Amino acid sequence: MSAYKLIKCTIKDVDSLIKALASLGFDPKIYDEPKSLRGFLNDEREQKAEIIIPKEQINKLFTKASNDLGFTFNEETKEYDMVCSEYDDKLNIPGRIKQAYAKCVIEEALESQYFSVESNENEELRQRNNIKVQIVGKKFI
Amino acid sequence: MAKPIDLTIEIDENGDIKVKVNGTEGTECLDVMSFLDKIDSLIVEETISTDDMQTKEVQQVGKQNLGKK
Repeated sequence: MSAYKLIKCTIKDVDSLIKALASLGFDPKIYDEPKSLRGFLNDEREQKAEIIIPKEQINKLFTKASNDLGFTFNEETKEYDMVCSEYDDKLNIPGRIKQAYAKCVIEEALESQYFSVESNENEELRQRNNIKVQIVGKKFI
Repeated sequence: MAKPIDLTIEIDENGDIKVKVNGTEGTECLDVMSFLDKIDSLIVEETISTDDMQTKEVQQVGKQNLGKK
């Protein structure tokens, strides 16, 4: 080993975002115009988003009393901002989504550089919180 | 002759990423990882060289100087 990089990930690519959400088992709703998010009591929240993971999907996979989680495009930063309730934030749902997004982006980049790609992720790990995903890319130079 | 290299990438539970390279010599690792700097969604916060890389750089400089004399 000769060097290493520390990298932060921001959500900019909608295709990678949708792919990452699918890898977590989510099938988000995508709207042309932002729509209101729903709270856990089915109440309409003031927050709006163009890409919404319905709370039922989050409840089924991770939690029991989630709210809708959304993504809204920020024209200033050219990034997708995640709109998430405090409850889901405490359960680190945003972290898991960012982790899945980073994995998608990195794997695509490695493949574009002709690396063979392996990862430690499997169904059992996917169900657990607070795991580190490890990807190994190999090639000859 | 071609040699095997690998990149080990760890993504923590908050989506922060750490990338290590194995199998390279000297500053080669920087070239191998340079594609990461061009990805729109990734912000490279820090590139940290290890003693191994610094040693190789010194050795290369030393060789060049020796050749000039």
